[in-house]
Amino acid sequence: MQIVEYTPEHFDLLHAAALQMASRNLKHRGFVNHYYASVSWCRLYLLMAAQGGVAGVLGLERMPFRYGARDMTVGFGTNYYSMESGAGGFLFMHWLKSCDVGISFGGSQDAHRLIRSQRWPYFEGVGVYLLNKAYEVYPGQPAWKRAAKWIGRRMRRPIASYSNNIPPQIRSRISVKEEIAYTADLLPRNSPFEFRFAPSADYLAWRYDTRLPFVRYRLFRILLGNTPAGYVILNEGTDRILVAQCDGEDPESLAWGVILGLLEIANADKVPRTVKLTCCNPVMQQIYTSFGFKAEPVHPFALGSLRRGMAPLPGSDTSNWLINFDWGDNGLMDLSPTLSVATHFWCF
Amino acid sequence: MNELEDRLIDCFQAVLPKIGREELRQVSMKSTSEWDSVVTVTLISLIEETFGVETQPGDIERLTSFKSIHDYLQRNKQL
Repeated sequence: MQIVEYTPEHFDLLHAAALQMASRNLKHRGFVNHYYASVSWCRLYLLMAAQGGVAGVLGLERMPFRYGARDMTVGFGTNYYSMESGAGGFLFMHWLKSCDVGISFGGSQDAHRLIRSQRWPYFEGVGVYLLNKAYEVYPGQPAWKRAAKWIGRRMRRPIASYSNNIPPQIRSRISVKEEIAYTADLLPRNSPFEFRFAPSADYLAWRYDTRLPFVRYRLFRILLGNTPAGYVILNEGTDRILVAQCDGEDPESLAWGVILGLLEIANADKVPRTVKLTCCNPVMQQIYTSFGFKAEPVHPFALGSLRRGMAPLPGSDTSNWLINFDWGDNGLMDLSPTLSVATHFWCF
Repeated sequence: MNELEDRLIDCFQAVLPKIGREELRQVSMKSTSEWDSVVTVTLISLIEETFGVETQPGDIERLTSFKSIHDYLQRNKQL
């Protein structure tokens, strides 16, 4: 077996293999070539079987993190598939040897089985919050459940209708301004969060590019008075918005900045869109629930390392961690192949 | 049987306990249904600890059988 780095010439081979996988985004040439073949820190590894063909794949993004006063590279595994028994283990080892700490946020049951076998600690407190829950109906659900979900869907309302829940003094202190370009002055000078994704502006410009044809990212600068206080990036779909990534100089202005950013893009909505975010900080959680978000079951969040002393200790307090939802490909699972560049630029 | 081979069989037996010691010399990922991804990861970690080697990306994916691991250790084992 041999592990090779994906290049655009491999796309047809990858596409043929992807037909056997549950992944939708690996069949999308634009996604694969942008995220796995345009920068050195995010690559797709193909495990080639001895007799030819793809035996497994793993996307690996080496994300710059800050933990206390220490910088570290956190490896986020994506599109982890194994088509031959045992093959996934080689990709898993390749993953862990390529970074200081591995992160699993979301992921398949098979991936979690492997992670548990290696005794990665799972961390509590990564809360998921939804506004206008979709209440999707699944095949085989009983009639009473479908009826309850129908009622739940009827109670949803356009995002702008929640704006009355913002105290007036917040609007006079905090505001947001939409930006297209990522510049260094968007980044917080001091972040209060102990464990966080700490990218440069160039990194953000690649990861959350506002001009991509297959996903619509919207970037907002958060202002406290006239002073920059952070940023929020939203992943906008026709029926849902994800709070993709945010960071700021204090939890309160960051949470309100996220909400004001949402209102900017959903202000004219006639139909309710679902909003999803993750949050660990109690001040931010309280602000989100006061606006109308509801807490959902937490996401499994695990960190593991081959290097002693690198990863946060099991049982660490996560209330001051900044964990955003749209890391790896978490926000890129439902790519729309029909979203055109023309449509994309229409909003600007 | 040399010491390296004996200790390597111990490692294999720890992760594939249903296979007899003699048969373990012949096992490969392809021929052994019990060899899944958990076995791969646990086996490589155990071998690194037992023999004081640190496998590198580029080597790892070639360690798919008792023989290939034995040959790898002969070349790389810390003496």
